[in-house]
This record gives sequence, C-alpha cells and structure tokens, in this order.
Amino acid sequence: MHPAPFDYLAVASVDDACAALREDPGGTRVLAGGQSLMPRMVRRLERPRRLVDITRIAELRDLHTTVDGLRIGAAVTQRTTEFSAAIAGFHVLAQALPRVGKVTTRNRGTVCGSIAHANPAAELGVCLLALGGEVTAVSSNGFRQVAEQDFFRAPHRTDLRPGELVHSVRFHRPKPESVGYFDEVTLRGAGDTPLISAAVTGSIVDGEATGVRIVVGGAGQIPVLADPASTGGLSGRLDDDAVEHAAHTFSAGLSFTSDPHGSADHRRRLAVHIVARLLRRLRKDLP
Amino acid sequence: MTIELRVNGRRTRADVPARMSLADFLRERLGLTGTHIGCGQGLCGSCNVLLDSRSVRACLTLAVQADGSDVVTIEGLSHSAEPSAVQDCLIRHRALQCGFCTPGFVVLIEELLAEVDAGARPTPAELRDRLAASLCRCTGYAPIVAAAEELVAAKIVERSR
Repeated sequence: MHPAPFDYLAVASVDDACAALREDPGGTRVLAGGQSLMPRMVRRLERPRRLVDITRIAELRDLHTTVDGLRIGAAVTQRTTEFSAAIAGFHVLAQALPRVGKVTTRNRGTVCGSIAHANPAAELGVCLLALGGEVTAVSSNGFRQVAEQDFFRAPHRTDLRPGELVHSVRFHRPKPESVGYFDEVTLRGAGDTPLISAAVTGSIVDGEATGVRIVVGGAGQIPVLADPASTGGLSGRLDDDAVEHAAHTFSAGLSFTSDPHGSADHRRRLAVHIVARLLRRLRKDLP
Repeated sequence: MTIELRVNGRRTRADVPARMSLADFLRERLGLTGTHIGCGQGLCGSCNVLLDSRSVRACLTLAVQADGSDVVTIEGLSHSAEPSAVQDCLIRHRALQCGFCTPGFVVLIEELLAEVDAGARPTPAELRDRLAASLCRCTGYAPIVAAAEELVAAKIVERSR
C-alpha cells in the first residue's frame, strides 16, 4: 500500500505554510500527524501534489490554559494533550481523549487534525460542540475565528476555505458547577471510527441540573447539539420519564446513514441508549 | 529527500522518496525486517515501532517525517540472540502462534513498561485497551493479556524495591 507520488515540504513557520498553501490550494494538503490523511492516501482516495508538514512549527506546538479555556495548537498530538495536566476540568475532553483511535495513532495524531478531518463520529468534534469553543484558521490573508457551531458543514467538510489551515482550537472551560460525560460505541478494526460518539454536560445548581447539553455524532450528518426545545426543558431532577423522553425525541430527529459497519436505524437506537445512559450518569451527581 | 535519524542507536543518513513509509525504509533500506507490514493502512499494528520512545504505526509515518528522530524497532529491543524479558514472557505464556503480530505487541508492551517505570499504574481495563492497538489472529488475546499483566506486575515490584 503506497500513496501516489507527491512533493513533501517541511515548513518552519506559519507564514511559510500559508505561502505554500496559497501557491496551490487545490493540490496541497496539510500534514500534521497524518493518521487520518495517510490511510486515505495509501488507498488512493487522495492524491495531493504536495504535503506541507507543519509539525516543525514551534508556534503550533503550543498547549496552554487560560481562565476561560484551553488552546491547543495544530501540531499538538492527542497523546500530549491526554497526558497534559491542562485538561483537568475539561471533563468530556479528558474522558474522550484516551478513547481516540489507538495509543499508536494518538502518539502521532493531532487534536486539530482530527477536528479538521471532520469525521462526524469522531470523539473530538463531539467534545468541541459539547464544551463550546472556536477554531482559529489562518491563511495568507490573516487569522479567522470560527465558532464551534459553524465549523462543521457536512460530514468530512468544514468551514475552512481554500488556502486556509487550522492554526489552533480553543475549548471553553466548563464552569466549576458543570459536570459532563462522554461515551461511544466502537467496532474493533473498523479504522477505530466510532459508530457513534455522544457527550452530555450540565450544571448542578441548588441540587438541580440546568443547562443540559446533549451532543451526538455519527455517520450521515455533522455532530448535532440538541436544541433545548427538542429536549423538552430537560432540567431539575432528571427523572426516568424526562431522560427517556429527551433521549427519544432528540434521537428521532437525527438522520444517520447506513454503511457496512451499521445501519442508520442501529445508530439511532444506539443514540437513544447512550444518551439516556449518559443522562442517568449525570443524575448520579445530583445531591 | 535526505534524512538523518537514529535507528536502534545507530546514526543513519539516507536519500528517500517523499512517499516512502518508515516501515518500508526500515525493511528495504536497512534490512530490519522484524517490523512487519500487515495491512499497510494503520489497522493491524504489526508495524509498530518506537519513535522518540512512543509507539507509532510505521506504515502511517513517512520516512521523511522521522528525520531527526530516534527510532527503535524490534531488533533494538532484544540485545542478543537471547529473547528479551518481554519476549521470554510472551513465549512462556504461549502468547504467539504464527508470530507475525508479535513485534508490534512487544513494542506496545515495552512502551507501557517504560510508563510503569515512570510511575504509571495501568488498570486491567487500561492494559487491555492498550493492547487493543494491535490485532492478533491466532491467540485470542488471553495469553497476550496474561503476559502483559505479569510483566507490568513484575515491573511494579521491581520499582518498589
């Protein structure tokens, strides 16, 4: 399994990367960890004329927290993030990271690369929607911020424009009273892509849950954040009826597709089940 | 493209095509055929090697990406004709039949043991999850997990002395 021939350019600065992308936006692909891109290239699903390796750009290796968030540069691997003390407090992200791919792919694969690849079932995109945040894109025209709700446009399609690359991603820091849980269903050996990923977050105030956010990702559509209206004002004690109602009404509105790994209907049933389980897990945190 | 890297402690300089994978470079240019190529697309883990002490899929890593790094293959993990402690333990547990996947598992276990040595204490679930990074078609995994559990336990005892 060999990719089609290409030119390889390891750039030393963001400016150089932008210049390289500008020369041939259609034929250039950004290479970071390559754990999503290389499998596509060896199957000849992609034949870029040139790869621009951004992992040697010091600026993109930045990983730091601020009072209100966590910023991860485009060259930071999933494994570095997983081991970083910085992810404490970012509940769903901390739970999801050890479940991304396998240890060998997390050692190379980057957080931004997974988000830019925009596999709708991928863990990190679901976390981005659950926590909120933004993607910083950069091109020779300068920087551009894209809010989490606007970044994913379609499965494997993002808001990135020709000539742009992801510079960094920022996750909003959950409030101290916020709790969150992540879960997924994965098939062994199927490229380790989950059938579905789901995250649930909420704040516990005065013994009751408020601001419950539910996100589900799976083949067929971008990761979906539940509309608070569709989950029927899910709050308070989260009794079984409310949990089942929210899980069913939300999942009924999802439009998964079928593929050799599972049918659309199977994914929908999994979504009902996992969302309900995560909500009941959240309920356990109520005093 | 010219690359310079260390492989099993030895400095190597080579001119490679951009599309050559690290796995092909190790096997074809350096003759280190212990790194096996199973699927060639990152699913099976037979080509696992240590790149700067971290396990990676050598089939999904370009040789040019390894420029300036330190690569350790299965050949670098056993220092004589004798099997290493990890290999010996796998043999005792009968954790291999055809042996095609074994170099990949040895690399995974060596990385895990280095982490245990640095203070990590993997739970049984975490250990199984780690080993899930490689596929084995012969053994049903139980003996591989048993060998890894024994090695981790031995490392913890060794550290507590």
